[in-house]
Amino acid sequence: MHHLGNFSLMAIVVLASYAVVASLLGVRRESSRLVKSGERALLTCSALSTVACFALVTLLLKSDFRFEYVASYSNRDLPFFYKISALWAGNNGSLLFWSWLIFVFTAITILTNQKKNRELMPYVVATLGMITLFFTYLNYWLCNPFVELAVVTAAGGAQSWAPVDGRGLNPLLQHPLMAIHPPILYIGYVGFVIPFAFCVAALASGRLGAEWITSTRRWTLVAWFFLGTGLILGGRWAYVELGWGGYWAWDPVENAALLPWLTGTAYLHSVIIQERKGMLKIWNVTLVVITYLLCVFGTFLTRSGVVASVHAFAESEFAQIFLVFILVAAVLCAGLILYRLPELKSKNELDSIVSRESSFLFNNLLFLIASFAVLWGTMYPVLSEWLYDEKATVGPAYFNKVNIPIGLALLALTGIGPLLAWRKSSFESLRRNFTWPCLVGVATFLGLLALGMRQPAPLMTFALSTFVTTTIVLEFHKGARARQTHRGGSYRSALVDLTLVNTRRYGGYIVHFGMVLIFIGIAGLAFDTDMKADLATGESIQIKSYDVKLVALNEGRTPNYEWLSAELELRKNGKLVGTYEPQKHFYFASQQPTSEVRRHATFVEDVYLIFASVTDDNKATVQVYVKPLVRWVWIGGIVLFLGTVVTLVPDKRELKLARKAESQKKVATQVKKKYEVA
Amino acid sequence: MKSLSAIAVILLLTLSAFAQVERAHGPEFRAAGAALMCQCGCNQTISSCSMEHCHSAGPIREEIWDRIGNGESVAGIVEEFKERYGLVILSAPPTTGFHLTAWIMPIIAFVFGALVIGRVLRAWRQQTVAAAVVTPISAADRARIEKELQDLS
Repeated sequence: MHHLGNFSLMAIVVLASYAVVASLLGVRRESSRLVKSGERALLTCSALSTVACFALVTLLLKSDFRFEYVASYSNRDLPFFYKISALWAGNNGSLLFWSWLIFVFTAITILTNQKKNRELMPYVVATLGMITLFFTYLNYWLCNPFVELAVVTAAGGAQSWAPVDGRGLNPLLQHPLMAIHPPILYIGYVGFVIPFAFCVAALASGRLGAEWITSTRRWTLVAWFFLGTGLILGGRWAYVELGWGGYWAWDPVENAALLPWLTGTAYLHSVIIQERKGMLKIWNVTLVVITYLLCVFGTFLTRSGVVASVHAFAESEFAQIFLVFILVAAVLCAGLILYRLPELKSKNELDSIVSRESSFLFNNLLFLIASFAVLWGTMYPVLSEWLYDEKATVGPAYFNKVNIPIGLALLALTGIGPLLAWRKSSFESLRRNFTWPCLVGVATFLGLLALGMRQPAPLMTFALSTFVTTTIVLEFHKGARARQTHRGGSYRSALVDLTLVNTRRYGGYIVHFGMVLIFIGIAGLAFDTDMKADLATGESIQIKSYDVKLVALNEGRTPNYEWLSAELELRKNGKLVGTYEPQKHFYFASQQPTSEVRRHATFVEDVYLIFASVTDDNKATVQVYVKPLVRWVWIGGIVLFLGTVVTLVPDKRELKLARKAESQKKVATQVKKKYEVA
Repeated sequence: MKSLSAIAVILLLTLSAFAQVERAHGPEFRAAGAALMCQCGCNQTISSCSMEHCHSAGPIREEIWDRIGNGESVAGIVEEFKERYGLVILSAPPTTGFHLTAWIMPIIAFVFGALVIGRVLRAWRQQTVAAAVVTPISAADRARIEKELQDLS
């Protein structure tokens, strides 16, 4: 199997190189045959990459511990599902999986563009070929997952060797969420490669119109959606598995995934201006390039060991190669943008500063500043040590202080933007649009202030959340009412129809509402309470209105681990809520313990129960958190998911145009046939 | 609309409940724990390090609990740890000397970005105004257009 894997990787290097050369030569010689052969070469690479992944998964499933990767991330008793997920548990395997995803996207792009974007495709194929070549080169020469273990013999030679069992998968990764979180995050990271390739193709070919934007709109949305979903799933995993009561720690690797999501969000907004008014062309190509380079930077950060992180892979020696790749790509893209600058300049029109265009620009500024602040904070320890010779640490205290004001400003703009008209907003329209949302926002602020809330950040978050929610509700309501007046029917059908007619706009509002819910959930952090106590059987602790009583200590074992649990009875205001059993697991293969938390989750708050340890006098050390509003973060994530799905659905106008084009094509074919017969 | 209203009611009820929240437990401990970084290499704060029997977070947590119980202030506790471990124990760089750059760079970037946007918007506005100005047509051009129109008819 390993020979098959290695052969596939080597063949990919040869074929991807050919694809690059053939595509570029095809353009130069205007030979569609060469261009097509380049495409076929990359399609073959995609198949070969699948074979390489299959080979590694087979070795993992067979527990073939002759191979270093299998022995490091798997063991005999590891459940089937986790044996497959071991594919992305280590640096070498995850890089193979990463490359495979690029190939899958490449194959989809090539197959769906057989009859369209033909002028762009040679450059798209060349760009994707170069990127895949780079990753496959790393995978074959520097971090090959098919390396065999060997021992030195008495004669001085090397002899193949296999341990009796593997070291096993990190217990923290043995969780269903961790099995799906990395692939989803990777799809997001990797997905941005397609908009990037089309952007480079547009710059190289000089076809800078709406063509490449239209072709990549859904790719960008899908990549953005998966990256966002990956971030939320990662947060959920940290919350339910890591046992510290939080979901976001501003860890460098978490930040690395947030960076392209922020710039990608900025792009999704600014591209609307280009589509509607043909403006911001330079800015949009720059944003696509930055977003993709940040995706690669994220991979670099995770794999290079430059910054310390619990999520990072072990330090590897290819950090410099990665940096060179990022630098070369940045220089080439900057060169292309400068070369095409005269063609990228557009006619700009703006009647007033108070307009939708301005709000989009400020929205972009805030997203860019947020990503700069996160990048700056993440890299500051390295810079500080390098420039000042003093190591400083940048943790949540810094990131929260810097990003909370930016986040609040973005939340405000989420509500303000849709209320402003394109080009110019009259005073009358401002008064009409802002009255109700402002009244609701101010009423929330004053109401909560009167009820005793004093923390500025949550106070502002709740006030702005109700402001934004009102704007969204009013947008739907006004649209539905207008549609009902014109077309009749029920209010509900008008509401559905309205959304289906303009899925991008109304799906976007649903996404905004999802973000509002996430902000509300985050604001709940300001009211967290926690307590830790050593409890003997029958003893209890009180936290807020809850009583937590230790009923018993239980134990057991599975083939993979043994466990100890604290059976806890939870009462609210004296009334039994339920019995929960937070556990401690001890994994045999990795010799590592983990905490399995239990939660009593409601819309108002979560009671988060951790069984920390057992004391010498057989008492259970129990930690209890009461965490308000956490559930709204996950609900917000689901709403975000639904909103993105709505935006991805082609709206009725798009479908109508497509049907019209289809019927015109049919008529043309029929006429042509008639003439041929005649 | 009904489900939206229901969500709004749940949210508002929930929010009003938190306005009266009691802060008897934890905030000082959490503040101190969040201001200090764990030294086990996990890159997490003392509050969030989830390593079993962590040799760094465990004893520091215990010390924070004890000192808060003895009535010490969060600032005092953090300062004492800083003297003991150096800057690496802080979860945010200090706001003095070279480390001030950590704080002011995002502000400088924001100001710079805002200025650029201001300029861009002004330029767009000027282009629009310039395009909207109607240039009066000269007598010669008017005569030529009229002649061409007559020729056409």
